[in-house]
Amino acid sequence: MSLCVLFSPRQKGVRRFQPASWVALALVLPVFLFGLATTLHAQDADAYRSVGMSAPGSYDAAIPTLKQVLGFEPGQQVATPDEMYRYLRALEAASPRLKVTTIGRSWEGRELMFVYIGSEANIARLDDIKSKMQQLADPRKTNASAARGLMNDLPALVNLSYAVHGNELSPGDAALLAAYHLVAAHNDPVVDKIRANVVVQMDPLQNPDGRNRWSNHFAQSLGLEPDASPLSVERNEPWPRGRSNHYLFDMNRDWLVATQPETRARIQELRQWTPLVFADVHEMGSDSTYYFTPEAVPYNPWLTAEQRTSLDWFGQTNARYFDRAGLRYFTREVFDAFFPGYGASWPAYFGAIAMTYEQASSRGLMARRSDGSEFPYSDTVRGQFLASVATCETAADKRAELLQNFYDYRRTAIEDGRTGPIKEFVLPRENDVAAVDKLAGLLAFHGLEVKKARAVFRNGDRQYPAGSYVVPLSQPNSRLAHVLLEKQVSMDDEFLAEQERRRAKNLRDEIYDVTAWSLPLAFNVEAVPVAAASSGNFVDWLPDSRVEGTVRDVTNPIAYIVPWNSTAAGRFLTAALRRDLAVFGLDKGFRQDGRDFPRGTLVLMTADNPADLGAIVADLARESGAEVVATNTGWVESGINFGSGFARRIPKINIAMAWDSPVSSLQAGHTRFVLERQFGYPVTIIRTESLSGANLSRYQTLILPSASGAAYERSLGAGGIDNLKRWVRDGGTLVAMGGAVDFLRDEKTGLLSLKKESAAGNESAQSNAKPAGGTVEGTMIGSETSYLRMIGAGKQNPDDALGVMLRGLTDTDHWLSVGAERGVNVLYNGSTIYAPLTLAEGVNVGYLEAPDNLLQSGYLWDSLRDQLAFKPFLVTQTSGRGNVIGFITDPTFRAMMDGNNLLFLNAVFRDRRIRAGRGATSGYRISARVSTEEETPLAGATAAEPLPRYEDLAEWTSLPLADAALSEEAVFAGCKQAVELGLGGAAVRPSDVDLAKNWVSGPVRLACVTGFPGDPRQRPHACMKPAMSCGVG
Amino acid sequence: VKDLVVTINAGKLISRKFLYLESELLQLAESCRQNEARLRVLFEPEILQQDMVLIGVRLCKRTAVDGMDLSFRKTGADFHLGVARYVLHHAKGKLQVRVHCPKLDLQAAEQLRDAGVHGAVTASAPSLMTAWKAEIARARRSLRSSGSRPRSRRRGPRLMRLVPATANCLPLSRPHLRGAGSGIQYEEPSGPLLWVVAAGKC
Repeated sequence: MSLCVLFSPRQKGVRRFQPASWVALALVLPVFLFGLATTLHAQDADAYRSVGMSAPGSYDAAIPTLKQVLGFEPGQQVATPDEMYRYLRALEAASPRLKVTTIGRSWEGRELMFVYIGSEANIARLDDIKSKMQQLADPRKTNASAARGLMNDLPALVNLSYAVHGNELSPGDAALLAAYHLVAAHNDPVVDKIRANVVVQMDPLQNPDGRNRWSNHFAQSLGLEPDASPLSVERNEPWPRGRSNHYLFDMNRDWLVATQPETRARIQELRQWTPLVFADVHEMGSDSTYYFTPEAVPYNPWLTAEQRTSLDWFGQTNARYFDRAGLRYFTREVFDAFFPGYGASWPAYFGAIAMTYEQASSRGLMARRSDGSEFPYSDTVRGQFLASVATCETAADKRAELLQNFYDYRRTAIEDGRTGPIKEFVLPRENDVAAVDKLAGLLAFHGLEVKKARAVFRNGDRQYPAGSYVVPLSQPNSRLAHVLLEKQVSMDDEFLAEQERRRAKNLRDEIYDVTAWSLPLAFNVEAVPVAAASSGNFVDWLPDSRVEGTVRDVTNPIAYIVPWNSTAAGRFLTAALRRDLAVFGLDKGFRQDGRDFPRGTLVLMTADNPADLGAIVADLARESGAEVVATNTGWVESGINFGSGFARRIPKINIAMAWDSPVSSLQAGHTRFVLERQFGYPVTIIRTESLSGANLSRYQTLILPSASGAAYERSLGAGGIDNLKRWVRDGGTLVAMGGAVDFLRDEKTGLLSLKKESAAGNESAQSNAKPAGGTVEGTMIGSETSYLRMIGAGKQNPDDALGVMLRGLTDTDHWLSVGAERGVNVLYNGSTIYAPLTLAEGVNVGYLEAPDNLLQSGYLWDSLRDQLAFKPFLVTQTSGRGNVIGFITDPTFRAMMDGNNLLFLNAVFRDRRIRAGRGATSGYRISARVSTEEETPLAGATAAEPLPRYEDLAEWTSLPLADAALSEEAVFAGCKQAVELGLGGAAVRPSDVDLAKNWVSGPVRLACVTGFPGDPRQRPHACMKPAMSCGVG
Repeated sequence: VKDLVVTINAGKLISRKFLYLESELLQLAESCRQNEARLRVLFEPEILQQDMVLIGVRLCKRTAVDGMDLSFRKTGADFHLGVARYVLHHAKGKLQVRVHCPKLDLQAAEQLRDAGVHGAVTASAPSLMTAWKAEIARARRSLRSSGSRPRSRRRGPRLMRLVPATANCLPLSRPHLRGAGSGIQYEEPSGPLLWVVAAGKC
């Protein structure tokens, strides 16, 4: 008998509880409760064992378990972000061994936590530990003897960071269990040792927005039971997956440029604490096992030998834990330590031992591997839990060594900086000064000591202007300065030789991410390594220092001039447009009052703008950092005047961008972020499928982020492609990036005439004639080299560029290149190379440098270097009244290529072909077409225009059907004719609108001709009523 | 309906009730914006003096309507072109300019288009399209025979063509242009007061 029987509701009638039943209950209840407790305890034990924890009885009963707070056993459910916060707060409330701190907020407002775990004494003195770590971190202030004293006192600070990718699930739950284990375990010698020697700085959820996205999807798609099928919806997230944050950034690549609030909060905290150990806990594909340190080659040369050796300590302890649990694992194979922008890399450059852990993911509660075997979610939590505890144990065992190594790292960094060939990096405040300021601020944010010159100074042969920045290398973070500022960080020769060997055999390279990241190159500014320390008048440049723009004022200004030579000018432009100011862009340079203003310079005439323009401009300059020059004359000494035909009104436009599958979520997110958060201009994101039938007339610029050409074609369909082409023809500007360029050059789309190149210098690939009868002419292969060349001959595609920075030049006659006349550095990834457009086809506004000057940073195969030279990276081609602009390289890559920003803004905002018309129907208008011989500089001289097309005139023409004498039949016939002729519109009487709206379709716009409002009964709203009620309102 | 075309009250315009017109247009423009429709204001230059057309342009710009339609009933193509250029010149890119002509041939249409006119409403649209098809066919034939694409007419030399002040143009006037009692100050037109427009110069 069970309680279910005793208390089960009666099927027929209601029976009173009889005394006999009390007796029965008294006898049965203890037995039942014992049985229940045993069963529950057994369930607990099973659950605990499944995730690698000790038996439930080994934990302090006063500390709340996962079950008690969240209602499920370890590894049985995936905790949502809210549940994670709730449980950690519950632990904090129950134990003095754990303290939760809030370090910031995510984009969507979720809390970012650092959780500190250790002995009660250590948790009570966290501020003291932080202060002492800061003393230990600066050997200039702390000598060896004082350092020894600190080391005797300090615990090893271990940062365990979980779930930077929101759809990597097990790290989050493992964080909760590790916290509970370290807080609640009693009589556990390992945990006691950890508590005594270690303070864990736990970052339990690096990406709460991404995990929340995954959790919502999972909750919505769950069925009767967890489904292990890799095809099931619950294990296949929709676009955008939970991996990225709100702006779809992979935050595990954001540590160098630190664009996201999550990354910034983290860096700010780590900079102050400088933990000795940093483990970034991830997941990988379901078919894999577990990966832990040591990392794969290549190692970044700025990592020290001690750091590499120390990785083995952690690997060996992890191995012991995994061997004991019978779990398989691997090391050294995949995840390299070369790119410094991972979470598991950046801390290494302040001296931490930084590592990546990767667990095969279940992406749900059950998973099936490709060999048919299945595993539950709890298995994945177990791997992460064991690795977390093992890491803490290693740190506890090696506390003294870790502290000593950390101190030595900082000390040798200073010494190396003092004695090395490079003493400083100087950032001359020239050209794009806003980018220089931003870089200096970013370096300071990374914890580097940066100084700003108050006056002109000399170092070596060169004079640097006031405001230039100096990064001295005799500082504890000098290796980070090298990593961020050097043009080239090389991989070791042995590794490169192996990659060349693999390439010859058409095997994949073993490089996990880009091979170039130099921030000065990305920002298109100089960082000059100098051999002697600079002397002069310097002040410390702090992370929160800000450079405000200036306005050089005059009395009675007639115009304000903003030189188009910095990203700050870009911010000024977008802010001015947002405030509805009339801004003109000058396509040619001019000289006024002894100063040369470059092409692209912005001019705001006081006559065209509100009376308080001066005050508005001052505000905008301050906010944007732009330099503004007021002038009281339109007279220029040379170049064009403000009223020239080359002065184009830059309209306030509406920008749309393709969003959702199949576009690359990363690129879409980066692009949206750059426009919205770096330039403060809103973007309407439209699902790609909706583009096929969408009325885009409200938008002047449409951005297509990267996706494969075939995928775009599938998503849009023939109708969608026609819609897009029509919109462009009508005056829209289409900006395509990466793979979207391939889509636009497709035969069906036909908006770009680019041709893709196959691998160069490959005779067989080029003469790919099949021999008759399947036989070939006999050959004699004389050497292995010949053999390799022969088997490699069939390769069609060029080799992959490994994320390199290349030098690009621009066509300085074209408006699209204004502000980028000095050339730019572009990040080249992948194997897509296009032949340049001919003059008759379009304009190669940006093209790569000659082979000798091409590679700026990274590793580039020799054959690719020759083939890439002079190939386009930015092209444009007209279509009807619109324009198509193709960025073959990604100008918004990880929002780090600031040097490309002006080109990107030109493409989005400056297309002179945006004008009143179908592609520009908002209330913001720009000048009508101004046709000059120089309009398309390269094409203008020699190239002829495309053939006229029927639509060119048809869409310009409308049919009048507003004559009072027309019958309904005549109006019907007229509408039909307008549709058949493909005219741009039909103008009808108000009384006919209701009918005519059913008779017109396609490109024909219905217009209503009405009289002017005459009396109060015909005030505008009354006048609008008949027209609006039937079509628009 | 995506476009609303409102005929300007010529009587009020000639009577210099500018404030009245401006007030009504502002309300109309606002209603249209809210409804995502375009508002165009239709003028008949043939019954207006030149300075009134200029004031009309300024009214349209002030009230931020989307476009200005110019309706012609009697006059010839040269007059249409001249007025369109005059209006475009003063619209300074802030207005779409469209013409309404009962008859329009291909040459006139292309001239208007090249001048920057945004569209034409014409009853001769069918014949215009037929002529345009023939023009396209001719261009294709030319391409096939020569092997090269025809050069655009727009790229050719520009002819300075003066439109004579004919009987079609109304007599000159230089009235006092301040709107009586309106409080709105209208400046005197600084451009030419003749309906004489140099092609390519506006």
